[in-house]
Amino acid sequence: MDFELSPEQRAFRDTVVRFCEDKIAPHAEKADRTCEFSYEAFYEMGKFGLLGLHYPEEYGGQEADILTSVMAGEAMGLGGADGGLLLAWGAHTYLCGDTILKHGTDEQKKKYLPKIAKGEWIGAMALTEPGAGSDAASIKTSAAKKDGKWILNGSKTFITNAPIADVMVVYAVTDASAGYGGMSGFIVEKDAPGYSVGKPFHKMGMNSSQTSEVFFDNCEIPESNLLGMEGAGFMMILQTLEWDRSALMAPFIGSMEKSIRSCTRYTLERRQFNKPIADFQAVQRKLADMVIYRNAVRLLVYRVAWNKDQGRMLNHLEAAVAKLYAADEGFRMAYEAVQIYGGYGYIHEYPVERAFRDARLGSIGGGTSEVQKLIISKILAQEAK
Amino acid sequence: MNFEFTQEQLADADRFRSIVNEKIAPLAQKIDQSSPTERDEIVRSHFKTLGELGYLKLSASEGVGGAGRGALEWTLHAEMLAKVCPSTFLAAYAATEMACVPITLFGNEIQRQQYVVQTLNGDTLGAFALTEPEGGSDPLGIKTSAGKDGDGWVLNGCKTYVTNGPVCDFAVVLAVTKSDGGVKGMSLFIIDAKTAGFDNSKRLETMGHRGAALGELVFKDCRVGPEALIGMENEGFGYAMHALQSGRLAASVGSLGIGQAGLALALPRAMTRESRGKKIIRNQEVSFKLAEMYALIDTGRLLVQYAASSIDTGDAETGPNVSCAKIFTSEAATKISTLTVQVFGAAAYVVGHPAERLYRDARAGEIMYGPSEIQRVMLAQDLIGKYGV
Repeated sequence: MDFELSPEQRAFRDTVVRFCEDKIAPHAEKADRTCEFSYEAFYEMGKFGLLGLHYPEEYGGQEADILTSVMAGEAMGLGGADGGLLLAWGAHTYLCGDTILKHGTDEQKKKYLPKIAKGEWIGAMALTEPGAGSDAASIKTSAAKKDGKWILNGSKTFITNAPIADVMVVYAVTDASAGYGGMSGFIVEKDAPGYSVGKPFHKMGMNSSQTSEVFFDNCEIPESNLLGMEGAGFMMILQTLEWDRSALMAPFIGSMEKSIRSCTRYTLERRQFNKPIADFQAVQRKLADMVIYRNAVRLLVYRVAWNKDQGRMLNHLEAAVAKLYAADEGFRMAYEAVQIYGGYGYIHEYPVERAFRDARLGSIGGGTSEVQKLIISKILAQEAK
Repeated sequence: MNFEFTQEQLADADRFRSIVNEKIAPLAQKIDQSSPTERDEIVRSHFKTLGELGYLKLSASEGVGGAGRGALEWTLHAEMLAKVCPSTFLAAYAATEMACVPITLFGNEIQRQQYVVQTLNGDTLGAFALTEPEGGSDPLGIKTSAGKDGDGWVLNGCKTYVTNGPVCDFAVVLAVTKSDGGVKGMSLFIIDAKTAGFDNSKRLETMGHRGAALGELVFKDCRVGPEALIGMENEGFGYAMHALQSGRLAASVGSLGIGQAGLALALPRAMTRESRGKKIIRNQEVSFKLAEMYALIDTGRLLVQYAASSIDTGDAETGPNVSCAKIFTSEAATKISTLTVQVFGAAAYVVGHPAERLYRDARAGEIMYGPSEIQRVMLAQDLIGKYGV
């Protein structure tokens, strides 16, 4: 057991931090205010290789391991500080792209992955429905085969990237009597007949990403757009958790690191009662807690990634703890950063204000904190039997 | 980066688990509930057993007869001992991971043979004495003095809250050798418990960890020869900080073990206890408590291993990493033991219940070897040094 990163890993992380400071951070505030997706920044990320780091070279990737992908996510959280863009990155690269990489046919991979890796096409993943959130197996969107085509009917909601997506991985029920085994994945392109998206939601945070409803009204897609095996949809969703609990949690680490740095500097500059507020122990406590939880979340998330790199099945206990802490403690630390900045922390121009709103999604999206506790307690009980 | 121990390390730890489960766990409640004499006898015999089986020398270097396997591998074993008996854990590691540390690192060969080797074999029990009635978290404020006496020294003063104090064979003691010398005015001494002028008779009864005897050490014209000095004169403060750092890691592991013991009690209880026609684990008010306990333990263990690993590699971040581990695990143990009592309800409010003991045992973690408050101040100061303008 050892916790050392190699010099190459550190150098890579530093390079990504600098890239993001240069290309992403300068636009983050405006993107948040205008609620606009920055195609330009996204395309730059593609050029740099961040939209398909672990994809095989033939599909435009760099065959990076998972730990490297996690470090990239961490570096983007630190250097870019644009939560929405990273949310878009996660949905695009992993929930959409990686699912095609894992389960797609050669043809599907050739068709979509190089475009996704470059950022030419934007990907999304649609699972959640108005009546099916934490209880993902209760989705109602249906897919039926007819005359050599799949016909999709139903609606999805809270779909990251939906308003701007060129390609979407969609989960639908193909056999209503088969429960978990009755869901399948599909690839839907934006020009499919009967496919439409709603207006972008006006969200609390993550405003530089676009989120909306998706509607399938007798939406027709070719038979060949079935993704993976028929009936394997739920298994595929579970597999995306490997990314959801590693690379997608990594920006939280970077965001905490950024808070630590900016808050430390601020507490030394800001003077009250004739001394820097860094001299007050109530302020010091907040800084100290940021260090503790940054270390904790980093270790938890890196462990998920490392185990995955060993070729193992996802350990759901480890993954749930990582998600729970990254989300809950990530938010709590963002809250404390606002508290340290006081009135300034309540103003849009200050990055801690945006980080606070962005962080609030953590314990909701990709499995609520309550669901994580449910998973942990169920596994504990099973193991104790 | 590698998040796993080797198969060999894990197999070793499994053997240790069987030993502590068989020999030490059954007496944990008895230790808590019996008279001081009985407690001391049981804990001393546990210490001897652990020494004979070679489990006190895991982390120590080969130069002092240790196994040289480092702090990280030590934590793997130590948390098992802490889980089954926090008292034995504390007594054993106050000796091996604190009192022996400065002797190993800075003592001479004779001192190492006489004190460290014997302790690691389970034959002698040491104590580490820093805190005084008027100075705990402020080690620079200590008053115990060691004046030159020929080529030896004469000690005067009082140490308190010394783990193993009342039962120790020797004590490692920090004393002022140059008044107003600050960190460069203190020296570290080994005082044999039989030395005239050394009094360790005052025992302090504690809330928890009742088998780890806590007490005062009083020095009244306590004369020792030159061989009592560890390392160099006036360099003792730095030596003592090494012992404290090692002690903080040990305290983290102790808290981690207590947390595990709590979950190990609460989980089967929740799975078997019925109320309103169903097992209480079917209530989220119960099952989510268990999930929180698990998350605290799992995360705490990573922080502990990270800290231990940085001690082994001599990482520049060792101090902050140890502080993180100690704050997190000690506060986790307090929380877990509280939740454990809650899961059991009134049953755990009855003296003699293991959850009742754990609740008391857990409370020491946030206090010992630098309370959470001091650890947080240290972490903040470290940050200010790093990122301050």
